[in-house]
Amino acid sequence: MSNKRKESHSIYRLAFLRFRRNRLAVIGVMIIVFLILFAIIGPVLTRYSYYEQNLDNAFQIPSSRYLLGTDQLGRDLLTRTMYGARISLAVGIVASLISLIIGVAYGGISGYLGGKVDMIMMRFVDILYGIPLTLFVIVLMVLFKPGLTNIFIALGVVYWLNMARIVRGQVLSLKERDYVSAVKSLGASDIRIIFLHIIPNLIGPVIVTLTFNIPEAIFTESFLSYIGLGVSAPMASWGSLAAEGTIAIRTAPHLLFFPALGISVTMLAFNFVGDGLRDAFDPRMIES
Amino acid sequence: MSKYILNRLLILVFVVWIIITVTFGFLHSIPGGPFDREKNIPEEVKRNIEARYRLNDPLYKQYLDYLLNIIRLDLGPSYKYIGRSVNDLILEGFPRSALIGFLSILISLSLGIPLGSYCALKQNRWQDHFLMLTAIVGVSVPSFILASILMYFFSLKLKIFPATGWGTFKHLILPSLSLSSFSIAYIIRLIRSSMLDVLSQDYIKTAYSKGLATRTVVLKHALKNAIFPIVTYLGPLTAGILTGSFVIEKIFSIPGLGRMLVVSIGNRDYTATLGITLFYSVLLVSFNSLVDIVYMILDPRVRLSKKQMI
Repeated sequence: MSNKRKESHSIYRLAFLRFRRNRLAVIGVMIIVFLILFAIIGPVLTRYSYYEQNLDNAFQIPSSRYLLGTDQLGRDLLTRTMYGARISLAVGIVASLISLIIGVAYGGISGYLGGKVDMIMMRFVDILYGIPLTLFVIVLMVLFKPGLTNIFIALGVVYWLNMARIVRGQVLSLKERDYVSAVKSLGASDIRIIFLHIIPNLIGPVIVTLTFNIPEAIFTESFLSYIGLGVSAPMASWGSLAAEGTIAIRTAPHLLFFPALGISVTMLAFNFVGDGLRDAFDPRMIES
Repeated sequence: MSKYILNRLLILVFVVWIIITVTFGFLHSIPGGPFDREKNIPEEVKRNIEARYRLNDPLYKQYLDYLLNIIRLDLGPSYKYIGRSVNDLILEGFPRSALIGFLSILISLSLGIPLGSYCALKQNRWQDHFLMLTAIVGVSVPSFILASILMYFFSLKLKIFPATGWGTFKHLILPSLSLSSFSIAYIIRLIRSSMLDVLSQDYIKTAYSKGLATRTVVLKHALKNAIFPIVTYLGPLTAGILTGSFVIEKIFSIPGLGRMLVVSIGNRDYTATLGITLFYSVLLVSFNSLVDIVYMILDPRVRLSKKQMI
């Protein structure tokens, strides 16, 4: 008989270990880290700025002088792509954070209070869900000046709905768990229950939803910029760079290729990580 | 069951009313009024609009007028194209967009469902991994990027398909393909996981133990049950194709409604922008309600539980 006991892992450690084994997810994380560095430190390292025009050097293909080439006004594409990365990351994070705060608060309250309050609150969400919100983001951008802050607001307003639904569903099912009743019968206050028991168990699905929100937000932002409703020149977002690149596709395909690559690879990375997180937190697999 | 349908229809009317009201609110919330904003409106248009909208009336009266006009299916005159109404623009552009949209949905379903089922059958083998990887790329690469790439290779370099324009069947292919890239990939993933769930059910094992071939089992038993998530997805699918059409039509210069919307946005043609948005919104919301009802009819489990609830 052995006296050795296997250390039991916390739910996060288990998830982390499983995540680590998923090769695609790990690659995704590495890409994201690279992206963050690219966006934050990159512009400091290049000697060009994103708005410097140099008309003699327009439409240059990638060379040792301009690592990714230049655009129609002679601006260095590499620097502009780096600034584009900043915008995409900022949009992804801010929109997700807004959706997180509003969604968790709304869904949490609705789920916890239950009963009629829950029904009314969710009806409201259902009705809003029925409205095609992308169209309204477009209308918002048309009527109020297109600009970065407005994009943040518009995206945040759209994404909290899904988060609220998921949080509410989780809270509802958690409320009924035995350990909650047990702790309640011991006299735990509602606040204690919320913070010590319910919220820690929300983190799994919330993080997964967040991770999938980010590529959606990046896509919507590049979509808006592509049709001209996003950031305005000379500010560069990957979407607006892609739009400029599409115009010059016959003569200077590199102008489209690199921003497009940026958007695609970033979204891919976040999707890999999201998939990995979802599989890692999957309660069906945690039992084993 | 008919109670459920009535319920859905009521919600539909309510949502449409909200959309109309919000649209009206937008139209009148622009500082300085929508019609003073641009300094260079041609005089004719300005006079027409002022006569039509009776801008000096109190707001609630304007709102009622707006509501009545909508019910009479009148969306107003276009700002930019003097003499043409928004209705004209919609009637001209929508059939073309609808054709491409329909084609995209057809492609997505007819490619996505078989491929996804195939993945489920070959779970964890190389076919599965390869198709899954392709699917995740399809989900991540935005449609307009793919469209530009396709156009570059197939139109400019290889000259197989026309790059822009409208008229022949060949003009439809690249746009429909780019538009459906996301949906094909998403459907593959969706059907794969749904099929995996279904295939692990007992009745499937029974079917196999009866000696039925894989093909029969899948086509006759599994598919019917695995398809439900796809029905639910039809709503977001249509919405995605609709918004995707804006950029795709712009890239391929297709004279459809999506491009008309983008153009009217650029022209600051407010009546057209809001009219087209309203049209699209109502279309989507109605379609979603239809999908809900169809799902309810198809899924006997939902029908039975609804009966118990009534």
